[in-house]
Amino acid sequence: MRKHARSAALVAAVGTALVAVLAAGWSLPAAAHASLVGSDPDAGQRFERLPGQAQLEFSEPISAPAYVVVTAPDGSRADQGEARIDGGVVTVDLGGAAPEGTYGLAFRVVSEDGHPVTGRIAFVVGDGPLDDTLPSAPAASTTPDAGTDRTPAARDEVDDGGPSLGQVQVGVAVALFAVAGGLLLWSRRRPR
Amino acid sequence: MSGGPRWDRRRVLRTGAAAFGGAGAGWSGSALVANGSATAAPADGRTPVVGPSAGAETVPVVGTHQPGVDTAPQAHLALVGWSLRAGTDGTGLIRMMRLLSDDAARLATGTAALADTEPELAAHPARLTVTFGFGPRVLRELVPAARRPGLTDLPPFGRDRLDPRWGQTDVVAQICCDDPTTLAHARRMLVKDARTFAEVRWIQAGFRTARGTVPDGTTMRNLMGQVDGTVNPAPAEPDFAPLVWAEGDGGDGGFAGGTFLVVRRIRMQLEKWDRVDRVGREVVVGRRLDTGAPLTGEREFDEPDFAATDRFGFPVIDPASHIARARSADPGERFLRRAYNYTEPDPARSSGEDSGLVFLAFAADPARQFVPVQRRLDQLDRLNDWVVTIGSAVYAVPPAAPPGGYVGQQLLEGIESVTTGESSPS
Repeated sequence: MRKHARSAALVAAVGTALVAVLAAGWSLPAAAHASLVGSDPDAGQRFERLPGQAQLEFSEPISAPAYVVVTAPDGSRADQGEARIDGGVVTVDLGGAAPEGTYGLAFRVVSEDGHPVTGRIAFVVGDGPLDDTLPSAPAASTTPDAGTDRTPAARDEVDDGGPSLGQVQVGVAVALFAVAGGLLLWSRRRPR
Repeated sequence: MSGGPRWDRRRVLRTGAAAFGGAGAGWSGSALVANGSATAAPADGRTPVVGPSAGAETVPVVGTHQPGVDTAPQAHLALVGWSLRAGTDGTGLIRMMRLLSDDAARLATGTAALADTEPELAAHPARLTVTFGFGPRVLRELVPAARRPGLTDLPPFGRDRLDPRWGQTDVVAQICCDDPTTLAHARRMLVKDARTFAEVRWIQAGFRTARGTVPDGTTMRNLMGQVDGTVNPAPAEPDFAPLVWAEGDGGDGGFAGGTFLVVRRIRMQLEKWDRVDRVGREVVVGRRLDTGAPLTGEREFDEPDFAATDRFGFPVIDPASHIARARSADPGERFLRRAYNYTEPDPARSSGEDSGLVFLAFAADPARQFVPVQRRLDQLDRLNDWVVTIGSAVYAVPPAAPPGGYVGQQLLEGIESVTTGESSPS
């Protein structure tokens, strides 16, 4: 009877796990979308004076247009002109009054597979502290302000929005079949 | 202990395996099979008819307009484009239009065409309408300048990849019907009767959701899954008439009550679209996939708020999204869309199909209403990465046939021929 109970418990556990996976739904780990792989300025980087331009490098080509907003400590805009795109590299010119303090660079780009990526980087001009008061969670890609606030940090996680519907469906089906197959195999094993 | 635990263990595991296998199969299947709300069929297998049969419904010609423009779109489309034969002159076109107008009028009321070889197929009109139009060459060569409607070819658009196979023709008939069999018959009769005068260049078949599948008046979905056509003037609105019906431009008022038709065959790159997830798809268009609501709203007909921004200051609706680019501050840059989905088998493509939209737009002045919008989309629209226009044509759609006359008579013979009843003999 102990074995019986163990088996039943196992089935229940696996079932519970699967239900959890199903419930998690869209928040399953993402497959490849564009992500930010590097930036200049880097998050938290310190400068004597405002650099002439900012560059963001993504893992995939970006489709036009890309949006970059750089906010100076006094709230003024430090980005000048439209962001330029060269493959996966997005460049924007910086300028303006360039006061000392913390700058926020926010970006919103769409990769060539149609996926929006939003994020934010903070950097400092001068000797002052890094004072990134904006909530650092990326804005949800489509719904206004749907993201949950997290502890402020210099570098945002890039919002990749999760896997595609097809990926989720295929993944869940494969998982269900795999568990079924595993249970069937195990049922044929002689108990010790 | 007669092997009971082992049996039980196996049973438990196999039951579990079956359950998960079943769940897997069910999950896979659910992506393919719609969860129909099964209405129990009567035991004798017959479908009970509730209310009037859709097959008996007809669309009467009202006022000076041809039907099929302000008509709620029927489920099926056959758009037939003809080129006039070399020997077809003005008199030939008059004879052709006389024949086709008579066919159209009869078939629309459920009456067999003259010399109809399959009269039974005309018995269920199912809102059949036939809407005729003339291409620029016909207007130029067969309609005197004094009464020629102002129709010009569309300007070239940089992103178009036009295939001559779907190009401009001399005459068009937009045949629409809720029943595909009735439609096929009407198309066949018209093509048969036009054969002496014109040859078919193309036939563009199209479809919408079948009648009765969704409530009447539901905005269509295109094959990318988008709710398509939310912003569309409705016949009941005061804007509709000035946006759609031409006034009597062209001198003698013979075109009053007519309109212009823009045909664009838009291929969708669905294999590429498959790689875009829901979030991406919604950003590209600016609307939610489920409800068709703008990303700033909750319901389909909510006004998009293009000024709304997220916490970083970025617009919630991407300024490069389809709805942002298609929108104009100028209320005159609107027109009536009456599009149909198309899908053709195409074994040469890995998907096995060529799918898209037969985009049909009616406007009183396409150059003023349609061209500026298309120019903006041609310059920038995130949707452009997944769609390409492969066919394009424009037509003048004359007013309805005068009593006892034929469609196009006011243009081909002048309005005097209508008022005096003196039409040239056919």
